[in-house]
Amino acid sequence: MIPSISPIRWGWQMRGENRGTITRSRRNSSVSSRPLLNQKLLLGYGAISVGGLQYAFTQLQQVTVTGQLMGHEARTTVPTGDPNSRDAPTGLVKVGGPTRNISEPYADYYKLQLVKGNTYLKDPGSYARENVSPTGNTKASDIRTSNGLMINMTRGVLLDRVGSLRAPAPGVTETFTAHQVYDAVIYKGFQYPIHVEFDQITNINHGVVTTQLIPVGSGF
Amino acid sequence: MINRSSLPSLLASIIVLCFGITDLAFAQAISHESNDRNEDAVLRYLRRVASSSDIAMRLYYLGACGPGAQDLVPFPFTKVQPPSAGKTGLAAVREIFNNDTNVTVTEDAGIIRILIGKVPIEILQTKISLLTLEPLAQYNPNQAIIAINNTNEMQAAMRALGLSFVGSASSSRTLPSEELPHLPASVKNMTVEQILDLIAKTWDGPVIFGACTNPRVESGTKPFFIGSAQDVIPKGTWKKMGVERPD
Repeated sequence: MIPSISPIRWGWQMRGENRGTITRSRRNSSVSSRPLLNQKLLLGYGAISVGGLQYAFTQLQQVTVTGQLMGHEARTTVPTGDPNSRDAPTGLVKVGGPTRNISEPYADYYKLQLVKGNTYLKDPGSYARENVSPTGNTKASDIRTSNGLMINMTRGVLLDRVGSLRAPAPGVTETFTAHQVYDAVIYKGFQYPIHVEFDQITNINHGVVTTQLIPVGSGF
Repeated sequence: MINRSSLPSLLASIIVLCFGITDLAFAQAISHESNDRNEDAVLRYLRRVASSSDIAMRLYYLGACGPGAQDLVPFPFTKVQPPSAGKTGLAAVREIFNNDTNVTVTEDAGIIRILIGKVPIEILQTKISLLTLEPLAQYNPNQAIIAINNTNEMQAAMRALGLSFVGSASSSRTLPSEELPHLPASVKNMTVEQILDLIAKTWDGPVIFGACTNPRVESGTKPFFIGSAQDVIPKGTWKKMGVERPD
């Protein structure tokens, strides 16, 4: 086994340090306001058991232990590609407008194309790694964070689904948001760190769904 | 100076403040970050095993649900360790959870089942007479799971059991292409459990089911989660490349 450091993880950490805008960083920022909200709510309730307190601290300790258990060991993983090479992907761009299937009138599909600069990369064997988290009023949404899935891109293309998971009731009016980060691409046997962020917005107005996929930051 | 008449209100303020601090700790304990960290720790090692062994995986967990939870069906803390070099399949999965007595690992019908806690699975026994999968659902496990959830049978079962569905936030979908792993265009007379087994066998990585035993304040229903943590790429890709899956 050849010891190596995963460049994907390296890329992830660098982005977190430099920009503070990746999914987890964003979630951390929202977390900071939530305890205060909970604290206010509890001031209203005015009751919690000693057992609850004990449980809370046990959980806190356990969370720390989790980190300790996650050791790094020597592994052979996908080799890193030269970011200056002719084939090095630089990102994913939104191409054209969204499409909507008749059978799924509550979601839109956006086409994302793998690129190097303005050139479309279409060779087979390309995979993008995505991370998506609900943001905003997460209690109202019906989705749960998904981190680290690799998705095949056929001819360098994948579809991004934005919308509701099911047909909303006619009277429903609400908004769901999610934040999406593509942080790595494997292309022709090599892996490249990329950084492409989108905000996904789903507006439901009296049961009618409209969506937006908005590029964030300097991505595209 | 504090006079006697103000003592009760002062005491009440101290108690309320203490309760507030307690909730602060509770909220942090099962925050988004904790949820992600707990889940990532488990998935990291399971995905490695899945990418180096030709096995199907199902992961069931009892959610760390509660008033302070910031996520729907939060992933519980689980003691894990990396599998030893050279270990594969069931032995590797058992080693991952060796230090956690709350985890049970079994294998049947070619599927490794990992149970974290005592998980209520009544909803998975729902029988679906006909599940029609459009091409995107055939080629994308999380799209297939949306289709399962939207069947009349599942909607009726959720109403009967007082449950509400939570899906994966994963939104990327691969375009259908014959050489990619995929499900059949339709399945008949199968339970949700059996269909999820089929999904587990089609792609590398675990199919996850999580459940809460207490209802959400907003809806009064108990949330449950079904999601695929599988790579939507050709099965055995990492093995063919002679590398381990990148974390």
